Amino acid sequence: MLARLLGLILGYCVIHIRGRGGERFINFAMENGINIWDISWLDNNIIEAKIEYGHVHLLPAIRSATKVPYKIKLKRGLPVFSMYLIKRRLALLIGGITAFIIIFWLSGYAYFIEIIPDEPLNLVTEEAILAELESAGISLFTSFSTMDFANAEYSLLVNQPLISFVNIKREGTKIIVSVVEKTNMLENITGDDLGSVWAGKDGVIEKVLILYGEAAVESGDTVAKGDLLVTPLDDGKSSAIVQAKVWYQGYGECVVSGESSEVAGEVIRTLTLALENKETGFLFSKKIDETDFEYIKIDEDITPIYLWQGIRLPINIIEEYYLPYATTNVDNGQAEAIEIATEKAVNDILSKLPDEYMILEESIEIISQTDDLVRVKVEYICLEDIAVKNNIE
Amino acid sequence: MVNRKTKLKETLGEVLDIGEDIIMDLPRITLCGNRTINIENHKGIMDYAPLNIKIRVSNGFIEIAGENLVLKDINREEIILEGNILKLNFVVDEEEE
Repeated sequence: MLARLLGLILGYCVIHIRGRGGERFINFAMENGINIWDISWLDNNIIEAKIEYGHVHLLPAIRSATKVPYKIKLKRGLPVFSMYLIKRRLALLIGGITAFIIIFWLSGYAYFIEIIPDEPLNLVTEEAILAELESAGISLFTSFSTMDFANAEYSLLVNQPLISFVNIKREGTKIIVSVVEKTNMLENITGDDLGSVWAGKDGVIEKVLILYGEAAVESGDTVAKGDLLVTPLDDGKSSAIVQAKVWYQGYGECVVSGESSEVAGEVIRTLTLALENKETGFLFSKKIDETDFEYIKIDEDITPIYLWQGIRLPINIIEEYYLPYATTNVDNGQAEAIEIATEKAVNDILSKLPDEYMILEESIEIISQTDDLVRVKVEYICLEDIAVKNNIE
Repeated sequence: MVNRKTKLKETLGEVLDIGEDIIMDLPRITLCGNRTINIENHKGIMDYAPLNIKIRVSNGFIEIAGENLVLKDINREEIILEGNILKLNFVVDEEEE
C-alpha cells in the first residue's frame, strides 16, 4: 500500500518490453538503481513493468545497452498530473505572466498628482504649480524613470519664489507635492517696508518677485552687497523676494601627524590693575594657570580709572580674554585627515548660511596635502533670498 | 566434494556463530504459502518466461514454476515474486558439489 502511495507521489510509467531478453532489461535496470516493479507477462511476447517517473530518461540507455525494445504505455502520478495541469492551463499561465508584466510596466507611470499645501494656498495657485511641474518634466501619464524630482523642486523654488519649501515624492503611481508658502507678504507690507530693497550679499540674480515697488535688477544680473534691487513707489514702500545664487567658501585643515592644537574650553577673562605705561607695574593681577593648557590671547580691553570731575588716575583696568588650547600628538591617516578637514570646512560654511537656503552645487578641493598637514576648501553655491531693507550693516 | 574454501567458511560461521547466509553469501528464501516468495541476496534473473523464472544465486539458481507470476519488486538486495507457485527447484552448481 505504502509502495503504491509512494509510486503515485513520485509518479510512474507503465512500459512494455518486447521480444526476448526481458531479463537482460530487468537486470540492467536493477543494477543501475532504477526503480522497477510489478513486472509481469501480458502475453507470450510482452512484459509489462512499472518504472519510476524520474528514471524514464534512463530507458534509452538501457535499450541501447541491452538491445531490448520497449514502449511507454502509460504515465501516472503527481508529476504527470502537474505537467498535465500546466499544459492544459498554459494559456492561463501565459495570460497571468503577461498581465503581471503589463501591470508592472504600467505601474511605472504617474496617474495622479496631488498637491498638499501646509496651509490653504494663498499666493500660488495649484495650476501654476502643475504648470511648473509639467515644464520640469513631471506630468500625468509620464514614466517615473524620466522624472527628476530634485530638478523639479529647484525649478519650483526658483520660478515660484512665494514657495518657501517643496518636496516631491512618489507613492505608488501617485506624485505627492508638499508645498509650504511664504507668509502672506502682500498683507505684511507695513511701515517697516519704507525705503528701498538692497542686496544683502554678493550673488547672481535668479528670480525677482516684486511684491511692492519697481525692480532695479533682473534675472542674470550680478549684484554686490549693498546694490539697489527694488526702488520704492511714491508712498516710499517697497518689498520683494530676490532669489540669487550665492557662493560660500569654507576652509578646514587637519594635522596628519605631529602636534595638533585644538580649542579646549571656553574663553577666560583675566583682570589686571596696572600702572599706566608701566608694563611691569602691576598692582593687582589675576593670571591664568598655564599648566594644563596653552592660552592664546584673543582680546584686550583697557579701561582707565577716573576720579570726580574728569581727573584721571594713572591706573588702568586691563581685561584680557584668553582661549585655552590643548596640544596633542596626533597620527591621522591621510584619508582621515582629509575627512576631518572637509568636515571643518563644511561647518565653516554652515555657520555662514542663512535660515532658508538651497544648496545647488558643492565642490571640495584639497588645497595642499603633505605628510604633516592637509588643507581643504569647500565651496557651496546656494539659492537664497538676498533682499534686505535699508538697514544694511 | 565440498571445496576447502567453502569448508573454511562453514567452520568460521560455526565458530563465530554467524548465519551461513552472511558468511557464505547464500540466498535467504522466504516462502509465504505458495503465494509469495522473497529471495534475498540474489544475483539477478537468469531467465524469465511466462510460466517459469530462474533466479541466479551464489551457489546456483532457483527455478520457480507457476501461474500469473509477477515480480512485485526487484532490487539489488531482494526479489519479491507473487503468483500461484507450483514448483520450486534449487539447482546447485556442479562446482559447489
